[in-house]
Amino acid sequence: MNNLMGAYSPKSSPIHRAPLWSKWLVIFGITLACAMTHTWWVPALALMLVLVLALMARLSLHELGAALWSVKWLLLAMSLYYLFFDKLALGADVLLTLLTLIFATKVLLFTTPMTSLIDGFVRGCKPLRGLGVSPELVGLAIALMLRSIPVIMDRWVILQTAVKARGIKLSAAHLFTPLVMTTVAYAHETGDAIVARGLDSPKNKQV
Amino acid sequence: MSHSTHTSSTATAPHNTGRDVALIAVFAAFIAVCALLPAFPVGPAGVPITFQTLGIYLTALVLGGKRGFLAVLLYVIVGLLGLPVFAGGSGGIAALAGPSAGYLLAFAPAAALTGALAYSTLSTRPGKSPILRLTGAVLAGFVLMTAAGIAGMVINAGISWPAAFTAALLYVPGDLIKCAVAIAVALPVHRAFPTLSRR
Repeated sequence: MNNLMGAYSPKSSPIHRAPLWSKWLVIFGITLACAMTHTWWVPALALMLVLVLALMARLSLHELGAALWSVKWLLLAMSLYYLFFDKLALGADVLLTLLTLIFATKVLLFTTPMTSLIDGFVRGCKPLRGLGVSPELVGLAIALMLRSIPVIMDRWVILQTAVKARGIKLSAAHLFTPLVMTTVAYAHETGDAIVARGLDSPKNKQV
Repeated sequence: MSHSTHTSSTATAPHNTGRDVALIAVFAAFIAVCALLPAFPVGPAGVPITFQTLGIYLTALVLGGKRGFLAVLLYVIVGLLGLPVFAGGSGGIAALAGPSAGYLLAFAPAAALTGALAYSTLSTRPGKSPILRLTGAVLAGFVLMTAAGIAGMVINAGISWPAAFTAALLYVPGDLIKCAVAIAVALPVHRAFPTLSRR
Protein backbone atom coordinates (compact mmCIF):
# COMPACT_ATOMS: atom_id res chain seq x y z
CA MET A 1 0.00 0.00 0.00
CA ASN A 2 2.97 2.31 0.49
CA ASN A 3 3.32 3.00 -3.23
CA LEU A 4 0.00 2.25 -4.87
CA MET A 5 0.90 4.35 -7.89
CA GLY A 6 3.76 2.05 -8.79
CA ALA A 7 7.54 2.14 -8.62
CA TYR A 8 8.04 4.92 -11.19
CA SER A 9 11.14 7.02 -10.77
CA PRO A 10 11.46 10.07 -13.02
CA LYS A 11 14.95 10.02 -14.52
CA SER A 12 16.58 10.97 -17.78
CA SER A 13 17.49 7.81 -19.66
CA PRO A 14 16.91 6.40 -23.14
CA ILE A 15 14.58 3.79 -21.62
CA HIS A 16 12.53 6.50 -19.89
CA ARG A 17 12.21 8.32 -23.21
CA ALA A 18 11.33 5.22 -25.25
CA PRO A 19 7.69 5.10 -26.39
CA LEU A 20 5.39 2.78 -24.46
CA TRP A 21 4.68 0.48 -27.42
CA SER A 22 8.39 -0.27 -27.86
CA LYS A 23 8.61 -1.40 -24.21
CA TRP A 24 5.63 -3.73 -24.60
CA LEU A 25 7.08 -5.02 -27.86
CA VAL A 26 10.36 -5.97 -26.12
CA ILE A 27 8.49 -7.63 -23.23
CA PHE A 28 6.23 -9.64 -25.56
CA GLY A 29 9.19 -10.59 -27.74
CA ILE A 30 11.13 -11.84 -24.71
CA THR A 31 8.11 -13.70 -23.32
CA LEU A 32 7.44 -15.37 -26.66
CA ALA A 33 11.09 -16.37 -27.13
CA CYS A 34 11.30 -17.84 -23.62
CA ALA A 35 7.95 -19.63 -23.88
CA MET A 36 8.56 -21.17 -27.31
CA THR A 37 11.99 -22.61 -26.55
CA HIS A 38 12.96 -25.25 -24.00
CA THR A 39 16.64 -24.53 -23.58
CA TRP A 40 18.20 -22.65 -20.71
CA TRP A 41 20.38 -20.39 -22.87
CA VAL A 42 17.51 -18.49 -24.53
CA PRO A 43 16.22 -17.09 -21.20
CA ALA A 44 19.86 -16.59 -20.13
CA LEU A 45 20.42 -14.33 -23.16
CA ALA A 46 17.09 -12.59 -22.49
CA LEU A 47 18.10 -12.04 -18.86
CA MET A 48 21.37 -10.43 -19.97
CA LEU A 49 19.48 -8.17 -22.40
CA VAL A 50 17.05 -7.11 -19.64
CA LEU A 51 19.91 -6.43 -17.22
CA VAL A 52 21.60 -4.22 -19.83
CA LEU A 53 18.29 -2.36 -20.28
CA ALA A 54 18.01 -2.04 -16.49
CA LEU A 55 21.49 -0.47 -16.29
CA MET A 56 20.59 1.87 -19.17
CA ALA A 57 17.46 2.88 -17.26
CA ARG A 58 19.73 3.73 -14.28
CA LEU A 59 18.13 1.17 -12.00
CA SER A 60 20.41 0.63 -9.01
CA LEU A 61 21.60 -2.81 -7.92
CA HIS A 62 19.79 -2.19 -4.66
CA GLU A 63 16.45 -1.89 -6.47
CA LEU A 64 17.10 -4.99 -8.57
CA GLY A 65 17.99 -6.85 -5.39
CA ALA A 66 14.75 -5.70 -3.76
CA ALA A 67 12.79 -7.13 -6.71
CA LEU A 68 14.52 -10.48 -6.14
CA TRP A 69 14.05 -10.34 -2.38
CA SER A 70 10.26 -9.97 -2.73
CA VAL A 71 10.04 -13.41 -4.39
CA LYS A 72 12.74 -15.14 -2.33
CA TRP A 73 10.48 -17.88 -0.91
CA LEU A 74 9.06 -18.73 -4.32
CA LEU A 75 12.54 -18.95 -5.85
CA LEU A 76 13.80 -21.02 -2.90
CA ALA A 77 10.90 -23.49 -3.05
CA MET A 78 11.23 -23.91 -6.83
CA SER A 79 15.02 -24.31 -6.67
CA LEU A 80 14.70 -27.00 -4.00
CA TYR A 81 12.15 -28.86 -6.14
CA TYR A 82 14.42 -28.93 -9.21
CA LEU A 83 17.47 -29.91 -7.14
CA PHE A 84 15.60 -32.65 -5.32
CA PHE A 85 14.14 -34.18 -8.49
CA ASP A 86 17.38 -33.67 -10.44
CA LYS A 87 15.77 -31.56 -13.20
CA LEU A 88 18.56 -29.02 -13.43
CA ALA A 89 18.18 -28.06 -17.12
CA LEU A 90 14.42 -27.62 -16.77
CA GLY A 91 14.91 -25.68 -13.52
CA ALA A 92 17.44 -23.35 -15.14
CA ASP A 93 15.02 -22.69 -18.03
CA VAL A 94 12.06 -21.96 -15.71
CA LEU A 95 13.94 -19.89 -13.13
CA LEU A 96 15.85 -17.82 -15.72
CA THR A 97 12.56 -17.11 -17.54
CA LEU A 98 10.94 -16.04 -14.27
CA LEU A 99 13.91 -13.81 -13.33
CA THR A 100 13.89 -12.24 -16.81
CA LEU A 101 10.21 -11.36 -16.58
CA ILE A 102 10.54 -10.07 -13.00
CA PHE A 103 13.36 -7.72 -14.02
CA ALA A 104 11.60 -6.72 -17.25
CA THR A 105 8.50 -5.77 -15.19
CA LYS A 106 10.75 -3.84 -12.81
CA VAL A 107 12.31 -1.88 -15.70
CA LEU A 108 8.88 -1.16 -17.22
CA LEU A 109 7.41 0.11 -13.93
CA PHE A 110 10.58 2.03 -13.05
CA THR A 111 10.64 3.93 -16.34
CA THR A 112 6.90 4.40 -17.00
CA PRO A 113 4.37 6.28 -14.84
CA MET A 114 1.34 4.17 -13.89
CA THR A 115 -0.92 6.75 -15.54
CA SER A 116 0.85 6.25 -18.90
CA LEU A 117 0.44 2.49 -18.61
CA ILE A 118 -3.29 2.89 -17.94
CA ASP A 119 -3.74 5.44 -20.74
CA GLY A 120 -1.91 3.08 -23.08
CA PHE A 121 -4.24 0.24 -22.14
CA VAL A 122 -7.35 2.38 -22.70
CA ARG A 123 -5.98 3.41 -26.13
CA GLY A 124 -5.30 -0.26 -26.85
CA CYS A 125 -9.01 -0.98 -26.26
CA LYS A 126 -10.07 1.23 -29.17
CA PRO A 127 -9.86 -1.51 -31.84
CA LEU A 128 -12.23 -3.58 -29.65
CA ARG A 129 -15.02 -1.02 -30.07
CA GLY A 130 -16.58 -3.25 -32.72
CA LEU A 131 -16.92 -6.02 -30.13
CA GLY A 132 -18.97 -3.75 -27.87
CA VAL A 133 -16.07 -2.58 -25.69
CA SER A 134 -16.29 1.12 -24.89
CA PRO A 135 -12.78 2.52 -24.20
CA GLU A 136 -14.40 5.50 -22.42
CA LEU A 137 -16.18 3.20 -19.96
CA VAL A 138 -13.01 1.13 -19.49
CA GLY A 139 -11.07 4.28 -18.62
CA LEU A 140 -13.85 5.44 -16.29
CA ALA A 141 -13.93 2.01 -14.57
CA ILE A 142 -10.14 1.97 -14.01
CA ALA A 143 -10.17 5.53 -12.61
CA LEU A 144 -13.11 4.64 -10.33
CA MET A 145 -11.37 1.48 -9.14
CA LEU A 146 -8.15 3.33 -8.22
CA ARG A 147 -10.16 5.97 -6.38
CA SER A 148 -12.20 3.34 -4.51
CA ILE A 149 -9.28 1.35 -3.06
CA PRO A 150 -8.42 3.92 -0.32
CA VAL A 151 -12.15 4.50 0.32
CA ILE A 152 -12.80 0.81 1.05
CA MET A 153 -9.57 0.58 3.08
CA ASP A 154 -10.84 3.50 5.20
CA ARG A 155 -14.21 1.83 5.77
CA TRP A 156 -12.43 -1.36 6.87
CA VAL A 157 -10.43 0.63 9.43
CA ILE A 158 -13.62 2.41 10.62
CA LEU A 159 -15.36 -0.96 11.14
CA GLN A 160 -12.43 -2.31 13.13
CA THR A 161 -12.28 0.83 15.26
CA ALA A 162 -16.03 0.66 15.92
CA VAL A 163 -15.72 -2.95 17.11
CA LYS A 164 -12.73 -2.12 19.27
CA ALA A 165 -14.46 0.91 20.80
CA ARG A 166 -17.32 -1.32 21.96
CA GLY A 167 -14.95 -3.85 23.49
CA ILE A 168 -16.28 -6.68 21.30
CA LYS A 169 -14.03 -9.46 20.10
CA LEU A 170 -15.03 -10.34 16.53
CA SER A 171 -13.04 -12.23 13.95
CA ALA A 172 -12.20 -10.60 10.64
CA ALA A 173 -14.70 -12.90 8.92
CA HIS A 174 -17.60 -11.31 10.86
CA LEU A 175 -16.56 -7.85 9.71
CA PHE A 176 -16.88 -8.85 6.07
CA THR A 177 -20.69 -8.61 6.09
CA PRO A 178 -20.78 -4.92 7.05
CA LEU A 179 -17.77 -4.26 4.80
CA VAL A 180 -19.51 -5.69 1.72
CA MET A 181 -22.72 -3.83 2.60
CA THR A 182 -20.95 -0.48 2.88
CA THR A 183 -19.11 -1.32 -0.36
CA VAL A 184 -22.39 -1.95 -2.23
CA ALA A 185 -23.88 1.25 -0.79
CA TYR A 186 -20.81 3.21 -1.87
CA ALA A 187 -21.03 1.70 -5.37
CA HIS A 188 -24.72 2.71 -5.62
CA GLU A 189 -23.90 6.31 -4.59
CA THR A 190 -21.10 6.38 -7.16
CA GLY A 191 -23.39 4.90 -9.81
CA ASP A 192 -26.02 7.56 -9.20
CA ALA A 193 -23.32 10.24 -9.46
CA ILE A 194 -22.21 8.76 -12.80
CA VAL A 195 -25.78 8.77 -14.15
CA ALA A 196 -26.36 12.33 -12.89
CA ARG A 197 -23.35 13.49 -14.90
CA GLY A 198 -24.30 11.49 -17.99
CA LEU A 199 -20.96 9.66 -17.92
CA ASP A 200 -22.62 6.29 -18.48
CA SER A 201 -23.40 7.01 -22.13
CA PRO A 202 -20.20 8.51 -23.58
CA LYS A 203 -21.51 7.75 -27.08
CA ASN A 204 -23.93 10.66 -26.81
CA LYS A 205 -21.09 13.04 -26.06
CA GLN A 206 -18.83 12.02 -28.85
CA VAL A 207 -17.93 14.83 -31.22
CA MET B 1 -30.46 9.32 -29.53
CA SER B 2 -31.92 11.65 -26.91
CA HIS B 3 -35.32 10.02 -27.34
CA SER B 4 -34.03 6.56 -26.47
CA THR B 5 -32.19 7.75 -23.35
CA HIS B 6 -35.35 9.55 -22.24
CA THR B 7 -37.58 6.48 -22.46
CA SER B 8 -35.06 4.25 -20.67
CA SER B 9 -34.80 6.66 -17.74
CA THR B 10 -38.58 7.02 -17.31
CA ALA B 11 -39.09 3.24 -17.23
CA THR B 12 -38.30 1.35 -14.03
CA ALA B 13 -34.64 1.22 -15.08
CA PRO B 14 -34.25 -2.48 -15.84
CA HIS B 15 -30.68 -1.92 -16.93
CA ASN B 16 -28.67 0.88 -15.40
CA THR B 17 -25.25 1.16 -17.07
CA GLY B 18 -24.03 3.80 -14.61
CA ARG B 19 -24.77 1.63 -11.59
CA ASP B 20 -23.28 -1.45 -13.26
CA VAL B 21 -20.03 0.37 -14.12
CA ALA B 22 -19.80 1.63 -10.53
CA LEU B 23 -20.47 -1.83 -9.07
CA ILE B 24 -17.84 -3.39 -11.37
CA ALA B 25 -15.18 -0.77 -10.57
CA VAL B 26 -15.87 -0.63 -6.83
CA PHE B 27 -15.82 -4.42 -6.50
CA ALA B 28 -12.56 -4.61 -8.45
CA ALA B 29 -11.22 -2.26 -5.78
CA PHE B 30 -12.81 -4.45 -3.09
CA ILE B 31 -10.85 -7.49 -4.34
CA ALA B 32 -7.67 -5.39 -4.29
CA VAL B 33 -8.36 -4.41 -0.66
CA CYS B 34 -9.01 -8.07 0.22
CA ALA B 35 -5.68 -9.08 -1.36
CA LEU B 36 -3.80 -6.31 0.46
CA LEU B 37 -5.30 -6.89 3.92
CA PRO B 38 -2.69 -8.44 6.22
CA ALA B 39 -2.56 -12.18 5.59
CA PHE B 40 -2.83 -14.41 8.60
CA PRO B 41 -0.60 -17.49 8.88
CA VAL B 42 -2.47 -20.80 8.97
CA GLY B 43 -1.40 -24.25 10.08
CA PRO B 44 1.89 -25.52 11.43
CA ALA B 45 3.83 -24.41 8.34
CA GLY B 46 2.40 -20.89 8.64
CA VAL B 47 1.30 -20.70 5.01
CA PRO B 48 -0.06 -17.17 4.70
CA ILE B 49 -3.69 -17.14 3.63
CA THR B 50 -4.84 -13.91 2.02
CA PHE B 51 -8.40 -12.79 1.42
CA GLN B 52 -7.83 -12.48 -2.35
CA THR B 53 -9.96 -15.47 -3.36
CA LEU B 54 -12.57 -14.58 -0.71
CA GLY B 55 -12.91 -11.23 -2.47
CA ILE B 56 -13.39 -13.03 -5.79
CA TYR B 57 -16.07 -15.43 -4.48
CA LEU B 58 -17.89 -12.53 -2.79
CA THR B 59 -17.77 -10.41 -5.94
CA ALA B 60 -19.22 -13.29 -7.97
CA LEU B 61 -22.00 -14.02 -5.45
CA VAL B 62 -22.93 -10.36 -4.96
CA LEU B 63 -22.70 -9.14 -8.59
CA GLY B 64 -23.67 -12.27 -10.54
CA GLY B 65 -22.00 -13.79 -13.59
CA LYS B 66 -21.61 -10.91 -16.02
CA ARG B 67 -20.78 -8.04 -13.68
CA GLY B 68 -18.74 -10.38 -11.47
CA PHE B 69 -16.71 -11.51 -14.47
CA LEU B 70 -16.04 -7.92 -15.55
CA ALA B 71 -15.09 -6.80 -12.01
CA VAL B 72 -12.58 -9.65 -11.61
CA LEU B 73 -11.27 -9.08 -15.15
CA LEU B 74 -10.72 -5.39 -14.34
CA TYR B 75 -8.86 -6.34 -11.15
CA VAL B 76 -6.59 -8.81 -13.00
CA ILE B 77 -5.88 -6.35 -15.86
CA VAL B 78 -4.98 -3.50 -13.52
CA GLY B 79 -2.73 -5.88 -11.57
CA LEU B 80 -1.00 -7.11 -14.72
CA LEU B 81 -0.46 -3.50 -15.83
CA GLY B 82 1.68 -3.10 -12.72
CA LEU B 83 -0.48 -1.80 -9.89
CA PRO B 84 0.53 -3.77 -6.76
CA VAL B 85 -2.92 -5.26 -6.10
CA PHE B 86 -2.19 -9.00 -6.21
CA ALA B 87 -1.84 -11.00 -2.99
CA GLY B 88 1.16 -9.85 -1.01
CA GLY B 89 1.30 -6.48 -2.79
CA SER B 90 2.78 -7.74 -6.05
CA GLY B 91 1.79 -6.71 -9.56
CA GLY B 92 3.01 -6.64 -13.12
CA ILE B 93 3.13 -8.84 -16.17
CA ALA B 94 5.74 -11.12 -14.53
CA ALA B 95 2.88 -12.76 -12.61
CA LEU B 96 2.06 -14.61 -15.84
CA ALA B 97 5.50 -16.27 -15.81
CA GLY B 98 5.18 -17.52 -12.23
CA PRO B 99 3.78 -20.88 -11.14
CA SER B 100 0.52 -19.32 -9.92
CA ALA B 101 -0.39 -17.91 -13.35
CA GLY B 102 -3.08 -20.58 -13.78
CA TYR B 103 -4.98 -19.33 -10.74
CA LEU B 104 -4.68 -15.74 -11.95
CA LEU B 105 -6.05 -16.50 -15.43
CA ALA B 106 -8.91 -18.58 -13.97
CA PHE B 107 -10.09 -15.86 -11.56
CA ALA B 108 -12.42 -14.16 -14.06
CA PRO B 109 -13.90 -17.35 -15.66
CA ALA B 110 -14.44 -18.81 -12.17
CA ALA B 111 -16.27 -15.65 -11.11
CA ALA B 112 -18.44 -15.87 -14.24
CA LEU B 113 -19.34 -19.50 -13.45
CA THR B 114 -20.00 -18.96 -9.74
CA GLY B 115 -21.91 -15.73 -10.34
CA ALA B 116 -24.12 -17.14 -13.09
CA LEU B 117 -25.01 -20.23 -11.02
CA ALA B 118 -25.66 -18.12 -7.92
CA TYR B 119 -27.91 -15.64 -9.72
CA SER B 120 -29.93 -18.41 -11.38
CA THR B 121 -30.76 -19.63 -7.85
CA LEU B 122 -31.40 -16.21 -6.37
CA SER B 123 -33.75 -15.06 -9.12
CA THR B 124 -35.76 -18.24 -9.81
CA ARG B 125 -36.55 -19.75 -6.41
CA PRO B 126 -37.02 -16.93 -3.94
CA GLY B 127 -38.95 -19.08 -1.44
CA LYS B 128 -36.51 -21.92 -0.85
CA SER B 129 -33.30 -21.60 1.11
CA PRO B 130 -30.57 -21.09 -1.49
CA ILE B 131 -27.66 -22.18 0.71
CA LEU B 132 -27.23 -25.61 -0.88
CA ARG B 133 -27.22 -24.29 -4.44
CA LEU B 134 -24.98 -21.34 -3.53
CA THR B 135 -22.52 -23.83 -2.06
CA GLY B 136 -22.59 -25.69 -5.36
CA ALA B 137 -22.00 -22.42 -7.24
CA VAL B 138 -18.98 -21.47 -5.13
CA LEU B 139 -17.54 -24.99 -5.27
CA ALA B 140 -17.84 -24.99 -9.08
CA GLY B 141 -15.73 -21.82 -9.22
CA PHE B 142 -13.31 -23.30 -6.69
CA VAL B 143 -12.85 -26.50 -8.75
CA LEU B 144 -12.30 -24.50 -11.96
CA MET B 145 -9.71 -22.30 -10.24
CA THR B 146 -7.87 -25.23 -8.68
CA ALA B 147 -7.79 -27.19 -11.96
CA ALA B 148 -6.40 -24.18 -13.84
CA GLY B 149 -3.95 -23.54 -11.00
CA ILE B 150 -2.58 -27.09 -11.21
CA ALA B 151 -2.34 -26.89 -15.02
CA GLY B 152 -0.53 -23.55 -14.67
CA MET B 153 2.07 -25.05 -12.32
CA VAL B 154 2.68 -27.94 -14.74
CA ILE B 155 2.92 -25.72 -17.83
CA ASN B 156 4.82 -22.76 -16.35
CA ALA B 157 7.14 -24.46 -13.87
CA GLY B 158 7.45 -27.91 -15.46
CA ILE B 159 6.42 -29.50 -12.16
CA SER B 160 5.01 -33.04 -12.41
CA TRP B 161 1.21 -33.45 -12.15
CA PRO B 162 1.33 -35.26 -8.75
CA ALA B 163 3.63 -32.60 -7.27
CA ALA B 164 1.42 -29.78 -8.59
CA PHE B 165 -1.64 -31.57 -7.18
CA THR B 166 0.04 -31.82 -3.76
CA ALA B 167 0.98 -28.14 -3.86
CA ALA B 168 -2.63 -27.20 -4.69
CA LEU B 169 -3.89 -29.33 -1.78
CA LEU B 170 -2.11 -26.96 0.64
CA TYR B 171 -4.64 -24.26 -0.20
CA VAL B 172 -7.77 -26.42 -0.21
CA PRO B 173 -8.68 -26.21 3.52
CA GLY B 174 -8.26 -22.44 3.62
CA ASP B 175 -10.21 -22.03 0.39
CA LEU B 176 -13.11 -24.17 1.62
CA ILE B 177 -13.36 -21.93 4.70
CA LYS B 178 -13.36 -18.90 2.39
CA CYS B 179 -16.19 -20.48 0.33
CA ALA B 180 -18.29 -20.85 3.49
CA VAL B 181 -17.54 -17.28 4.64
CA ALA B 182 -18.42 -15.93 1.16
CA ILE B 183 -21.89 -17.55 1.28
CA ALA B 184 -22.50 -16.45 4.89
CA VAL B 185 -21.68 -12.86 3.89
CA ALA B 186 -23.45 -12.79 0.50
CA LEU B 187 -26.87 -13.90 1.82
CA PRO B 188 -27.46 -10.93 4.18
CA VAL B 189 -26.05 -8.58 1.53
CA HIS B 190 -28.71 -9.76 -0.95
CA ARG B 191 -31.37 -9.34 1.75
CA ALA B 192 -30.17 -5.79 2.40
CA PHE B 193 -29.99 -4.93 -1.33
CA PRO B 194 -32.74 -6.96 -3.02
CA THR B 195 -32.44 -4.94 -6.23
CA LEU B 196 -28.96 -6.32 -6.90
CA SER B 197 -30.17 -9.65 -8.27
CA ARG B 198 -33.34 -8.23 -9.86
CA ARG B 199 -32.32 -7.64 -13.45
